[in-house]
Amino acid sequence: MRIVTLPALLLTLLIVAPGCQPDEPAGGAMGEGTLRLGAVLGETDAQGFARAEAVVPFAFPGDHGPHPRFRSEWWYLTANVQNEFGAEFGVQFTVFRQALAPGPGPANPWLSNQVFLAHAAVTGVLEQGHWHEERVARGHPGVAGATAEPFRVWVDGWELAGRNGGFDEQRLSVKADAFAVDLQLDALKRPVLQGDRGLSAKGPEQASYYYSVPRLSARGTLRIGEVEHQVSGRAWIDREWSTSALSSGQVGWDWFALHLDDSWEIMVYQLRRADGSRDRYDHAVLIDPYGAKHPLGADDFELEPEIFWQDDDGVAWPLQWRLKALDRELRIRAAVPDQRMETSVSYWEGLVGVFDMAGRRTGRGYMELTGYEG
Amino acid sequence: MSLLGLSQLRFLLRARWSTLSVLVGLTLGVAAVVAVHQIGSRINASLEMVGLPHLDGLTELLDRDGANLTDADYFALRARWRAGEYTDVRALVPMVEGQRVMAGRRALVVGVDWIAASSLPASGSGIDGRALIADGRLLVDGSFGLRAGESIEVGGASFQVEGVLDADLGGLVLADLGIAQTLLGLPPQALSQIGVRRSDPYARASELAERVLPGISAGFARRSSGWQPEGWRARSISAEQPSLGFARSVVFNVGALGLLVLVVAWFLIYQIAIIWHRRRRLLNDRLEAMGVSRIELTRGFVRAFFLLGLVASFAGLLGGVVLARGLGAMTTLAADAAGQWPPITGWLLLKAGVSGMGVGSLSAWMACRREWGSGSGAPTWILAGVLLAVAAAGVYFPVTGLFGGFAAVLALGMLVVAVVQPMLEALRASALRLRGRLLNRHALREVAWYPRDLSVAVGALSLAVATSMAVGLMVESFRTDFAQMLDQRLAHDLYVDGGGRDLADVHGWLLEQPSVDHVQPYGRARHRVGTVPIELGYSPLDEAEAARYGVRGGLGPGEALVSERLAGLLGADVGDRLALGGGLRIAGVFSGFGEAGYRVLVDESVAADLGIELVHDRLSVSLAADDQVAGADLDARLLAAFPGVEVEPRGRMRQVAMEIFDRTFAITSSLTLLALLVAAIGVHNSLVALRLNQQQGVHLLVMLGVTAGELARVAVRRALGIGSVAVALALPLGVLMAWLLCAVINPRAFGWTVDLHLALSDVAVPLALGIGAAVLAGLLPSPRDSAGEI
Repeated sequence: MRIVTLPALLLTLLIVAPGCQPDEPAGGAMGEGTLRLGAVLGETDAQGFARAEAVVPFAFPGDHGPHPRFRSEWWYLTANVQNEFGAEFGVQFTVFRQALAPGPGPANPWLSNQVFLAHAAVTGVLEQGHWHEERVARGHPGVAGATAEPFRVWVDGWELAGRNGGFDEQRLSVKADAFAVDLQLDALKRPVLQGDRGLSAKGPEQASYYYSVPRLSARGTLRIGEVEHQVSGRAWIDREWSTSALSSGQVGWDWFALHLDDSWEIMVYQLRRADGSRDRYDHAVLIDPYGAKHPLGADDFELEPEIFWQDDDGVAWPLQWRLKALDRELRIRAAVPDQRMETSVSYWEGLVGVFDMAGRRTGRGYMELTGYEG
Repeated sequence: MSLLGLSQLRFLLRARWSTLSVLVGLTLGVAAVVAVHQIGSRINASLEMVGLPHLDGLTELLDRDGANLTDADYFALRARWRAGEYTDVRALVPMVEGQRVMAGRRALVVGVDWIAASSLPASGSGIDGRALIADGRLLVDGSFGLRAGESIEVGGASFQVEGVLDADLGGLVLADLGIAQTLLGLPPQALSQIGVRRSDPYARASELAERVLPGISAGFARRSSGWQPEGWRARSISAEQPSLGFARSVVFNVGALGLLVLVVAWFLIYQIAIIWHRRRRLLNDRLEAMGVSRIELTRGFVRAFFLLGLVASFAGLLGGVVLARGLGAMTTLAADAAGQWPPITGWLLLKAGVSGMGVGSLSAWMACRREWGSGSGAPTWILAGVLLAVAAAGVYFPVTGLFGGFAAVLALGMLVVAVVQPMLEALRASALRLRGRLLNRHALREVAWYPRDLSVAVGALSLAVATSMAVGLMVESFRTDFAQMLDQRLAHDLYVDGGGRDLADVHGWLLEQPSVDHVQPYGRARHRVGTVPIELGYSPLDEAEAARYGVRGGLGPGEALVSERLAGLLGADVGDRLALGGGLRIAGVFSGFGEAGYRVLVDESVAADLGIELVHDRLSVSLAADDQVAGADLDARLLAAFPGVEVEPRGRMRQVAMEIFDRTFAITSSLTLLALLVAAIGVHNSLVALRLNQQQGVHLLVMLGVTAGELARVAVRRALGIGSVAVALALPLGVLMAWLLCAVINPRAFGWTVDLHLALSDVAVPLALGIGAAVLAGLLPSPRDSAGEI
């Protein structure tokens, strides 16, 4: 679920970010990271871009690749893995594509109208640590891009690619300053189309095309500092593309992708409104062991924060939740409190444990929290 | 408050004159430091505007050392970096640059991948590349005379100006990389260089040091980092922008002179502290007998000076701000902010506080150590040896840079101060053999009789006189060379500047005027000699034109003239070959006073061979010898026909150049005069102390029948004697310092050598000023209340 997640936040920042106006001298100072990236990531005007407005049939493998007619797009992977001693780790890798202008790219790739942004993060539960890094690059084949056949998404040395050119067997290669990840990913379930046959509504005029591969096996190596671990576990992939931003009144969201030990998966999100009311576009999906989905509307589930953690800036992040959906009542708890992504856009994204109300572990997953910084 | 503290305060109030001297001297010292700090900060701030913005935040530029650079090379380098090969690299930014004629003038077109540049740290001169990426717009510098929203037509295509950089950067056009490739007609894979940002563990310390002492980064000789990826050539960013280093050298020089005033003030306060300490000896002895430790006595004494330093810090801060405003208005470098009150920053407060309170406390502590014998220190000859070694090292090793040059100056100054006391002691022995009238002998013996009381004040006066002489000699020598250069260069009657615009039409118009005998066109382009960025000037370099640069017989094919600054940098001389084109022979080295960058002059044919599109944006005009009257109104007619150009007659050009020269050195003259004033206060204070010490002797003389007039003459002779000792030391020191300024500091700071001209007036005036200051100090009556200071 990212139609209203990071790219939307980037766009929101763009609206409020002071920048170089056409009639002012451009020799002024650049802002700090956020504004500068915001400046790079272009216009809020959706004119000329395609929009997610109607149900359309998905066509694979083409839809695994880029959709340049839409302004924003992302490839999102999370994994919860363990080493041979049972130590738990989380991995997040996201690539955003943002078009600066509509239309096909020019012949000179240095004039490309595409920008790619990648976030990679690793969480070590035993270490109670979270390491992350960001890369941004122009959509030039030499440094960043995406292709459907063979499937490949790459940004400045980081890559998620089909091992045999396809989407079902992939390899994630990330080498950052503080960590490195090399995972082989094999899909265990078929893609699940979110929302109405892949059209995921987030507001009256806001929607995206959205599908997930909710369960993949993951195995490979993970290095934190100088220590390398052989790891294995489960992964989740989301794919989403759109031209929308947040609708008015929405200030943030809480989103979860959970792997349960009984081979079920849950994807749930709630859009937080400024007035505190429940957003009618809140949504959840339960996926059974056979890959069948069970969608829930806003009134069909309860998601309540229970415990908050306050960071050094005084921001309170809800890190323990109670989820009630269908006949399940679960407690979701952050594995490490500080899993903030202090990148161009600041948000919380990290590994969580899933427990029943008796406190027994029943699964693992990932949680994303945005819009808490006021 | 403790009894000791009250005692110190009472002493300060009783010794009002000495207290006032300390306050005035220290206030002047702090004011000088504050003023030069503010001027330096202002110059530093203005440098942000003249720096090339696309190089902001970078540490090196990489190229393929003459081979064509492609984006495949860049991607390979980037992949190696991302694979962990260059661990201290923080960003790689591909760039393309080239020159082309745009909007009727030569432009340096620079294309940058602004996405890659977005990872650079933000800074004052950073630019917002958003619109450049999304819409293919341009940023242009002020020299184009364009405004945001206007367009430039290039090769049939129109490019909108997104914004205008405030400074005139010589025709700079910034664009997104692909747009720049289009403007320059380059293929998509062509790149010129890769900007690199590497982490610098000392960057924070350097930045901090530059805030505390503006210009200090220019104090050390630049050394290459030595980093160079295999197959690449690395160029440091500081070498790419020589004008920044030039301006920082100016800031460093001014800052060093400001410190000099503080050093003289330090001597003054030290002298007074010694005198005070001696006067309190009886009291201190009694207090010690009562059980007060020397540590407590020292602490109380230092506290008293700390208090004076606190007051002087505030007064000096205010005085410095006023001084900075006045000096700023005089100078050209800080002229942009002339008339404005400079801001008082936290750093400035800190600096004023440290200067005032630090110098005050240090002087008091040193006086205690000296008077109580706990700080006997090294013998004078060891100290002299160390100071000589420091001076020699600063001169001999160019790697010590400006810092070494000024350390040599300071060491020599300290050496003179250190030898004053032994010299006075030697004179005391000679004084016993003096013959002549009793009162004359009495006056002259007194000069050498109290070496411990007078040595520091005499040394400070020597230092101030020597500095004044050295700066005067250097400035006048420089002025002479500068005037000679102007006379040589300004060989034509009228100078026309198109502000970067091609003046082909003006050239044609001038040739049609009957009063015009000859028109010489000039153009310039950016180029490189090896890795060094240069301004390549071109013109028909015939015999007459070459003579303007001191070369007879004109230039042969494949020859070039180079500026002294460039020749010094390259270690090249006449006859050597330049790494330019196929290798140009250096036919001459010309002085380029005031040039911040590096310059090479070639004939137009050579420039054309180098692939430069010839654009003439300046013309010089020689009027027919028999038609000077008709030519007199040529400039008015020219301006009427071409309103955009600037026209200056030779006389005016020379006058303006000399005015700028004189304004530039107004700061140095003011600061040396300030040092002299502080030294004079020191001498007066010492003489007052001497006079008070000798009151009983004076009474005896009066009883013997010596008249008031004869006593006044004794005072004058004594002051003359002190002044003579001071100037005797100042003369060799001043000449030596002048040589250091001309032959060591100038080449290191600016790359040019100034021939030292020993003009009598520049030697005599400071000496006379020194003696005059001493005599004035001797003649000034002792303050009425000073008797209470004993």
